[in-house]
Amino acid sequence: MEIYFAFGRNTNPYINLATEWDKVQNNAKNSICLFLWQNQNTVVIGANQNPYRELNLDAIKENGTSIARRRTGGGAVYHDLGNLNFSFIADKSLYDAKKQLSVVQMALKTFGLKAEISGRNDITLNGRKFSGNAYYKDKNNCLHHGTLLINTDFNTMKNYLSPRESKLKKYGVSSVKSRVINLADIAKNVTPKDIAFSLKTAFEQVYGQKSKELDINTNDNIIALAEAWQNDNYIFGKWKDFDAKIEQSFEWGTVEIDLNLANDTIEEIFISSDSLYPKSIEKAKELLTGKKSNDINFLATNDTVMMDIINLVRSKICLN
Amino acid sequence: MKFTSTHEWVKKEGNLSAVGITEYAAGELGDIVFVQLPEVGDNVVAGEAFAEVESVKAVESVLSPVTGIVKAINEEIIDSPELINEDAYSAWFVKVQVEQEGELISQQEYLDLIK
Repeated sequence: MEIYFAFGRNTNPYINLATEWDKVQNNAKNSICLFLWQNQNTVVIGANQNPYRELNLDAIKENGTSIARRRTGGGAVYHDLGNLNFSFIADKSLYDAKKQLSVVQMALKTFGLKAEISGRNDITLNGRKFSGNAYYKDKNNCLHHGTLLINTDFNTMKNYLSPRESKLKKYGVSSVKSRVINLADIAKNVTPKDIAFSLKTAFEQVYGQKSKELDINTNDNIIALAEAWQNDNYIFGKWKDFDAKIEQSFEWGTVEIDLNLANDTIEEIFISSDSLYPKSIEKAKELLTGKKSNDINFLATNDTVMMDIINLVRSKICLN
Repeated sequence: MKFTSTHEWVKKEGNLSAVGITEYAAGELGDIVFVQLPEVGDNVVAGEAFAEVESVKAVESVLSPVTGIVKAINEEIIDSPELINEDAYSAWFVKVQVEQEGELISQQEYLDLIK
């Protein structure tokens, strides 16, 4: 068995996720790697999550925060430089989530932190979560990665990960909210760097040997993956046809519209409004249900309220 | 019905073959929350990944027991992935026009494998 370690210094989320994946694709037989990395302000969603449904996209975009999609499952998380990510990449025969988690537990013990494994995917301290874990298994190699909240900005996290309520049927994987804690709240002044060094020591101790250096130099595969993964099409692409959430004020009142598009057809639409024209709202709903996005271009009516709603829906769903 | 050592099943239905994952695999995965399927017309290769399932535990690739062309996909499991946990042998993933079978084992051999 060979063990490899690296603490990456690049904070670009797409490069980091691509580097991690490159190691999964090219992991040598009978070897296990521990790759540590940090992302500059980034929201990372699970492999099968709908960003429209899980995130406060307005706030994220306003602050220029990146959104990335990872290959593993589970919910949305927020990364900043107060968070440290660990990735265990292992040959299937060496993969052992419990053993890998014991590395994390041992590393934290150095700082007097008694971490507990909670359920399948969380590591907690006094019942509060500081680490979410996710997994991927392919034919030969496995990936187990997780976050470590050390000194993350929870206000920003909470803001970004709070989507507007929707009335539509859930499609895609939901995030689960947990009570969180920063490790630095308990182990005063501990930094991601301190924990990174301690993780390396614990990794070598648990696997009983010195680690070799993991090559994390950016190669062509990493660049190609990072480029593909920062593309909106990868992050939003397959989802944009499923949902739109629209909110708008008109002279006659405010509307909130949730709609579900499948195969370019409006399958479901909910319109809520404080307006005094409920009949027009109801008619607009009937008119739009089952329409193809192209057909909306040809809808016309003398009813101002209906026409405003139709134009609004058109502007949103025909945009892409 | 035949099986693979990587926990998939394949069953002849007329001139196509339905493919899914075994009850054992579904149980090991835990509650399945998402399924990613290929498209009709895609080629699948025996021993290579053709689908992904996300459970509360992990994302795992599903390997194809056969080589051939996808002729149908099961939209029902996209909408309701829990069907796979409920009845893994009814919840087919794809139907394939088989060109060549991969390394398949009998039910008894499979049962021995997971014992």
